[in-house]
Amino acid sequence: MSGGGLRLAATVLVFGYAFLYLPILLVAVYSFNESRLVTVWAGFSTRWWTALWANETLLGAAWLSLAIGALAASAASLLGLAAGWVLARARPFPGRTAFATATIAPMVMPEVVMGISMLLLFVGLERALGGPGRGLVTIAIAHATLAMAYVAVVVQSRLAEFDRSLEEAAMDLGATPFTAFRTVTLPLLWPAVAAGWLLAFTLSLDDLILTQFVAGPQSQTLPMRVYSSVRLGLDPQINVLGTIVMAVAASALIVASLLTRHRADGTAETR
Amino acid sequence: MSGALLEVRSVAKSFGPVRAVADVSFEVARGEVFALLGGSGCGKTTLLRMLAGFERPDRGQILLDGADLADSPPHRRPINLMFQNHALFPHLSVRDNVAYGLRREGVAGAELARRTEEALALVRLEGLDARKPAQLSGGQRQRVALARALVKRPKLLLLDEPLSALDARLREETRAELLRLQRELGLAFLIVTHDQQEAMSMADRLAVMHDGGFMQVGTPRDVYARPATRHVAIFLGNANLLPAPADAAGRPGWLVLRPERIAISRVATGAGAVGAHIEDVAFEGDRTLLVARTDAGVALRIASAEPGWARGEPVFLAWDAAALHRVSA
Amino acid sequence: MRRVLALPGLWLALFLAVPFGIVLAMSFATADADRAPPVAFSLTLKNYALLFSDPLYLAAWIASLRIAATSTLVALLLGYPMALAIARAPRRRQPLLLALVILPFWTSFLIRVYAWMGLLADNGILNNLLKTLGLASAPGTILGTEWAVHLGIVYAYLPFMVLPIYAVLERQDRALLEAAADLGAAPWAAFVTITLPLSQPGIVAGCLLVFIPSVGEFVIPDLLGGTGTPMIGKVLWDEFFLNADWPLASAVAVCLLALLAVPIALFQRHHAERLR
Repeated sequence: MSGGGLRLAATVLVFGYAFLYLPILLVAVYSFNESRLVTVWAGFSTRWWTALWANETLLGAAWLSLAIGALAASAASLLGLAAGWVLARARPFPGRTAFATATIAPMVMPEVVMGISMLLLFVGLERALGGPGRGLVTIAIAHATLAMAYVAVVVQSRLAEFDRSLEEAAMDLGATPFTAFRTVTLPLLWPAVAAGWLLAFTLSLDDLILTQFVAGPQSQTLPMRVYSSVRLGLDPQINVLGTIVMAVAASALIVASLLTRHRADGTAETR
Repeated sequence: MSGALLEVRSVAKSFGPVRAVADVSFEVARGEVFALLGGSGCGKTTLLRMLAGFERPDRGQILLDGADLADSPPHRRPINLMFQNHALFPHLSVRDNVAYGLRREGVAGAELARRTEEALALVRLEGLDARKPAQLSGGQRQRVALARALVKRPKLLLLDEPLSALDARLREETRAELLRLQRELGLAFLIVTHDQQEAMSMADRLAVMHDGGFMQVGTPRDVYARPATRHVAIFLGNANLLPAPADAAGRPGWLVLRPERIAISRVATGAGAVGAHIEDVAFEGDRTLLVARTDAGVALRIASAEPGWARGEPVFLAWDAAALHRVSA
Repeated sequence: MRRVLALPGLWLALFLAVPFGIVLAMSFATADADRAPPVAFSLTLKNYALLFSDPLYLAAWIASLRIAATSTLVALLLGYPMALAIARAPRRRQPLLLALVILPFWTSFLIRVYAWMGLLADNGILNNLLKTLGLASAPGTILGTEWAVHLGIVYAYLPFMVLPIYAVLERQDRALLEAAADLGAAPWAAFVTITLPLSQPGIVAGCLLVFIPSVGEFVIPDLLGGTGTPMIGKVLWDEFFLNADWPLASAVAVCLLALLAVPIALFQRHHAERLR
């Protein structure tokens, strides 16, 4: 690339990343602000960090969110693994297009549409069967349905990368289809599944709209608390919370990228 | 017309600590086919990329028709390149691929149509002009790449491994085709290749490259018959290397003996004949390649037009003194 | 094979297909505040009739499409140069540059929208900065306007634009650009005639990934937008939570999905082609 092109590219990237990161960084900076007014700097202080630590409501909501996240991510990983494998490996079967569409649909469907439809289902189930009551279980089910799409896509892309003949070789050497899957496919897939689990966990932790629809009055997740607080205006404790969330997400991304690096090493030879 | 078309003077290029091309000078005359021959990493591709303008030499000059090309970017050079994997634009039809360079010059309308048509006819691609590159065979793609480069009427056409992407049958056809066009249009060709047959069969002159430098430049027959070094002898065709006595300066050397210069027979024909046993036989159709070990224990490769040899058979080998060519290191 | 299919298949049938059936049925029902749930079953088209006749709802549809379209365009104009710059960066630096684009996607959506509340408020960081620098004495209002909604959407969905475009550009054969240069194309001409047309699948995917969720977006218009014309996602939300009109909200959901059916189908096709 010419010198002028390089300078242009560098300028574009600097502006692009500044646009992406300055707002987030300001949230973190103002979490250390002395003043209650989030937008006016009044000196360094950790008072909002201590205040958050004592905020039982937010902490309780955080624990609930983490529990839902773990549950939803695990369910989504199992479902997404199965769906991704079917999409990548199954011979054409009747309804394959419908299945493929349904698998990916939650990725692109407006969340309000998914939210209202799932709530109506749960209301109907409650009336017909008396359960499940709205709360942790219904939220986890909704999140798993949303997140399994992402896991399925990650798994499907990973399976598309490596050759089907690996599984065929295992079967040729006497493995049953299930053993071939367990001893060959799964070890190659697990980094993708782990990355998918993390992605599903993050999605669940962050989801507001679906949650708002399917949650009961007793189950207030972290995003719901944040949302109701933010609607009333700026709150330094939310800055603190945002800073923590962002730090955790950054660490999760580092872990995920380490997992995918491992993955890249594994595929280097098969290419 | 006189004088060299292309003059390369003391050109050198390094990538970090790696020296890719070290002080290379040569000339290509008008209407000449010149080949750069060498293994991978010898610097031939870097040299080609400097001629096309994709890399800048660290030192030296490249002159075309006496004009220094140092400051002209690739898109302003009257040199065109036929890429190794053709680099056809996948989203454009054959016609638009061929017309691409003309459009960049601002050629339009009837003239654009006429010259595109001409170029397509030149490579016999009429009727395929609406196809996309993905719908063509390997040989057809090759011809599109050629038409696309020729339509610009370059003074010099660079060809990067022009035959390597083709199967054996197509190679011969394409080689003849390329040389026919080269003669008809009076173009100069600079061919870069790792394939000695490709270089020898097409080039008027060739340069054998190794480690960023030229080891020898000459006509194919000359370089084949009188290789300058042991490396050239091995790289260009098959060669038996026999240790030679040290020369006047006390340096060791080798004698190059080409397999086809060895006469093989079942009976001793002259005083110079050497007794041997056949160790290996490879029938190649038009010739048979043999490995024979002389009674003195030296293994020699022999090319014979006669197919009837058997392993273990005792034979006699003979060659002219003129067939021996001495090389140093 | 059947058994593997059974689990996700049944799950999707129960939690995706059946709920849509219910929403579809609900959209023909009548709201009845005295019941729990507040619905009386019927087979009426009046919910749809209202959606297509009431100028307020029509305005919301148009506003949603308009805001989503312009935001998508801005995201493209911002995201394409970024994707190109990353794809042309030295290969060993690309993973880091890419990770920096993905990272915001892993952080909280809500917090990222919240960040702009602090930036754009009347006495917010941006206005204070403009005042301090003397660039504006009486700062204008940004928060609560459509400008803020656009900004929020572009900001939140920019990674979705950059990633698919980068993926296409990264796979492009560099020899094609060299061939273009060799045939006389100046760098700008080579970009317009080669790079741009060949990146079209990435552009389409990126635009769909930004446009589709933007149309139904709720959080951004709710937190950054004003009290003027609402976007359709907010209409659905308000009808459901504030007015408890479940049938009307369901009708909005059905229409929203019908509206997005074509872009979603386009995206699915692109996705399927990518994996082939």
